[in-house]
Amino acid sequence: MLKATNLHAGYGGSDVLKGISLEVPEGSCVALVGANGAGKTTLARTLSGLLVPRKGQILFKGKEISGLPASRIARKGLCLCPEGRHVFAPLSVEENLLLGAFPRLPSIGPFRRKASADLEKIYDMFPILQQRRSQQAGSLSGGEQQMLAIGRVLMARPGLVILDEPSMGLAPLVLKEVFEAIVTLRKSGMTILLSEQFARNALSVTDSAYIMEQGTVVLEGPSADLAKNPAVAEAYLG
Amino acid sequence: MFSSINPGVKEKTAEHILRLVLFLFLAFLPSVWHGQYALGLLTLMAVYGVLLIGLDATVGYLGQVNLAHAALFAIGAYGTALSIKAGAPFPFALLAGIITAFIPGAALAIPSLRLEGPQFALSTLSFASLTIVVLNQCESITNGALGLTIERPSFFSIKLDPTGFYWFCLVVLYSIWLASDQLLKSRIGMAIEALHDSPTATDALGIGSLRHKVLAFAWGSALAGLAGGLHVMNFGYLQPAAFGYELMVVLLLGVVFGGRRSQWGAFLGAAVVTMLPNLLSNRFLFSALVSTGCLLAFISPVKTLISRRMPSFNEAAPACAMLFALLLSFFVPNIEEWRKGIFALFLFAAVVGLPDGIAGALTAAVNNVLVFNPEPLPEAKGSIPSPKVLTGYPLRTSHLTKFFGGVTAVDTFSIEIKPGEVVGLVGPNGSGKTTLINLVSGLYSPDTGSIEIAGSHPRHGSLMAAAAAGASRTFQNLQPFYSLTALDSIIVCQKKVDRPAAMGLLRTVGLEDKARKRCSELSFGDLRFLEIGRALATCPRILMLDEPAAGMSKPDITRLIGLIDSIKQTASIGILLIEHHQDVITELCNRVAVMNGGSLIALGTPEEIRKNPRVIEAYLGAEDLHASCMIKTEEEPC
Amino acid sequence: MNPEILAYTQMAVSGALMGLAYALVAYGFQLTFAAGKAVNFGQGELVMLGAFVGLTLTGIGIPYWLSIAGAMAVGTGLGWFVERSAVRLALKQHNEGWILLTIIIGLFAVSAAENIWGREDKPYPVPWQDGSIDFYGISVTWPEITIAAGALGAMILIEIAKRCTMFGIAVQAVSADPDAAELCGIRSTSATSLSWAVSGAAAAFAGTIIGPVTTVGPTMAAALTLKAFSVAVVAGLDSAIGLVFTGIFLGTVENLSGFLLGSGWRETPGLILLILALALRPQGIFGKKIIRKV
Repeated sequence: MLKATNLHAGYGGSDVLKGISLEVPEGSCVALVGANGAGKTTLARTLSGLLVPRKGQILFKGKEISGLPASRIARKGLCLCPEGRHVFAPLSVEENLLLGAFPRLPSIGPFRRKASADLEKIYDMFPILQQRRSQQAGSLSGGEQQMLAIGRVLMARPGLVILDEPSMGLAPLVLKEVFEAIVTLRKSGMTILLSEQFARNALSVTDSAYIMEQGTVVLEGPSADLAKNPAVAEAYLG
Repeated sequence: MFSSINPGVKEKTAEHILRLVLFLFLAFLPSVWHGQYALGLLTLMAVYGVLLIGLDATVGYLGQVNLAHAALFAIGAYGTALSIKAGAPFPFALLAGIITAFIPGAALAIPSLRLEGPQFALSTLSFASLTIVVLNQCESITNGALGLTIERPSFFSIKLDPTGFYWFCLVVLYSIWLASDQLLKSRIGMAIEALHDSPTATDALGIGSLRHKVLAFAWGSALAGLAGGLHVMNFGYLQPAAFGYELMVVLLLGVVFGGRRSQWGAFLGAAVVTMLPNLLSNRFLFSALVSTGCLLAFISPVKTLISRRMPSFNEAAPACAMLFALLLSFFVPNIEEWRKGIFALFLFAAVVGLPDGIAGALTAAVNNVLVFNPEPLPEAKGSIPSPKVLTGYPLRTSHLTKFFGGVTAVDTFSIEIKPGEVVGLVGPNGSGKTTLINLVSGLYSPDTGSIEIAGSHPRHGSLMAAAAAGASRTFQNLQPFYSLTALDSIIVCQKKVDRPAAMGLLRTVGLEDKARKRCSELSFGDLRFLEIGRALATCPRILMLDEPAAGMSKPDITRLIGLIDSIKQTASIGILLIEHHQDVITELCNRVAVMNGGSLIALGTPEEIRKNPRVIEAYLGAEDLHASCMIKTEEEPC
Repeated sequence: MNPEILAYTQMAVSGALMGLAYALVAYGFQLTFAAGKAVNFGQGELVMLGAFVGLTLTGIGIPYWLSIAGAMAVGTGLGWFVERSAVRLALKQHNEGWILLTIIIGLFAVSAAENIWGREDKPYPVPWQDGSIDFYGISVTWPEITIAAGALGAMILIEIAKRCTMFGIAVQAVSADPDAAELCGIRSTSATSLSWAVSGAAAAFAGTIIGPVTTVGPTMAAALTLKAFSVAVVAGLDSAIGLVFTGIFLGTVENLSGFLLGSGWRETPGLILLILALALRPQGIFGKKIIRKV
């Protein structure tokens, strides 16, 4: 479904990604694992169009998408849930969710009614969001914001979701809840690219994985195999 | 291609010679270009030269849109005029002009320079309007809208004729030019450039952005006052309406068109704005000028079109503006009526198309052809400076807490760092490490808790106070002073300028051979080392390094470990090191603090930390979570 | 009532009504500031152009209401033009060039207006009968009522549109976090352009309702920009209610000081208030504090 070949991208003068190739087949759940600074977030930003690659090709559903603005790519169904959550802090929880569905809602008129079925689904998945639906998103705790960010991206009915570091800055208990949500998603057949620094967690919920280091892919294969590979733990604990 | 020519002199010398030639030419110009009118124009140009050098201090060097300059010019002019009316002799009258502009200038600077961008422009704009209202309304002093007429006093019993006064103005302009040049090349000038590039780093390194902003503004105001004094002596008549918004726009045109951050630019700008209104009265000359400008503006978009690309906005917009000006010059019956509109079109083209102005374009052209001898570098001396007296812990925090909305970024964090100790700060992304450094260095104010740096308790939330107490830091997202050279970046951070020591420090961080390079030309890795050098130049008690190895290559990381190790050996300061590279932590740290979710979950030697189950859990994820997820997926495989 | 107090009250009331017009122009600043942290230093010039366009349209026999629509159409276009030609590029480059560029475009507008419509102030004819309504001896003219109703109405309408349409919520999202908005499929550049266009329309509308009270001329621009800035900065750039209160307050103070100190001084309270607000509370009385990031 998503295929990237030989991607080079970066900020200013230097390349952060140095020739990355990866593939996410339809219906699969792929992990992108690596220590901080390995280039996971840069890769996620490049795939979603926030950063224009200097070299390389990105195919989504067989069509070239590199160079398109992020909003166009999102409308095609490739949606990123960004690192650091990036919820719209001054807006309410429900407005945040509605914005996720922006491209298919009427600009003026009964947009709430049109989105109500999707909203129900999200609220079923994260009941805490329903409790806080009219609260400002900025006043939520870190875990709740993460759930909101995931909920927002699901509102778009995406073909493929990139989850960039959903665990960032979360307490272990909350983390568990987030990962359970990812498992639920996976079961529903959603295609997911999960970028994670917590290797063990990421490998346990995905089919296959890419291990990144210094802007390149150093290892790839089925997650279960990689989880047993001592080289992976080594990369983390030195 | 041109091959470069070396004229065999230093750039500074060449500039000196060129400037002298220019002033000699200007001094002899009246003997060729006769007449009272010509002399008046030339004097005005010299006066505007002084005025624009002053305006460049804020608009160019500070990079802030200052709209109060015309008003300060007016205040200076009134100061001089009124003191002449009161019978003051020549030098005192000029001094009065300088002081009357300097005082409101400084008074305005202190509150408004805390502001940035549009707010700064606004506060200066309202000051300017206020000034004109007061000058108009205080009729008993200023004679209101009717204006003041004065006679130029004698200069130490010499009665200056117009030519004599012109020469006097040239001498003033020359000395102001040199003084301004000196000032801006000194540490003060470096600091002003530094704060333009990164106000946060300027404060965090204890250089002080506010005081240098005020200084630049006050210097500019004093020059406006001086120019005002000269102006009224030249003109002999004053009226508030002449110093309004329109003059301000003309002055901005001068600085932007001539070239910001350059005395040559200010002078060229002064020449343009004095001569331009006269060009408007000569239709043929004006059309010729606009046509030339139009042709020049069209060069780059046409080039782009030839290579079959769409010209960018920066290329197309100046061409459109100039084309519009050309059409006006052909079809409008009276060009002088459209004066403001034509100024606007020129300015628009200049701001978009020539960001460095005429002077910038000419300098670039000269530097393409000529290669000057470089300035000699100081001899390197010493390596890592260390503070003399050490009292107490370099850093001690207790119960630090910081909230962002509903998120607890740092949660009751307590730690102490001993002299000569390196404490590693690790933890997953978003666990609050950088926020902790931001709290200690004074960028954020903690919600509760206390910070003690080398025995003192600096005011919370003040970068300067923390820096004065002895805190120094590097930045995860680099904050280089792009317009300074590597050597100047170090010098500007020193409490007292010591060039050999700065060179020594540069040698220590391994950038000796890149001393003359601007930060904008340095590589990412070099900038990381330079930031450490900068932080060391302030003689810190506690040095905080925020991911120094991020984005570095393997050999650079080895060099970095060596550098931090030698800091640890030679200077008995505390080091707080955020790092994700495990080998850096293991080799350097006496103790490691692990953060997760804003709180400290473990503290101990690197060995202890590696075996700590809570840490493994924090890094790799919980074992039980791992298990629970696996069970679920095994029960219902997808 | 005591005739002296009555006179003061009369001044205060007309000032307050005029203050609502300042609030409307200031509201235009809020709209563009929210969209991209930039404001149009030539907003007053847009008000002036709006008034002139409306005046010209009524001059050729078009009814007042339609002339307002025409002026607003022109204002929309100009607002869009300023964003496209001056602000977008300079904001990308992270320098202060955009301030200069908006000033420059404003300067050109004044020059063009001087040459097209002349330098003199012109009256703006309205279809209402002369005379006024009396409330306990205080008289309020019809054009003044139009200002109050028009300014409040326009602001309420835009606020409703901001909160209750998907468009409006999207614009708010862009102002909160442009990248995240892009990821939701919202084109942040279009949202910014839209804000500038609405801001331009509001300015032009303000011109057509201020014109009948003050008269129309090229000099009205600079003064209006400054007053609207005072209101916007004193109130803070993120509170619409704050604008209304500050506008009313400033209009009142301005009229009273003009009455008490002489007409030359009427601008001063606003200017002093602006400098004080910037110095003491840069985020405005009703504004929120901003957090610096590194």
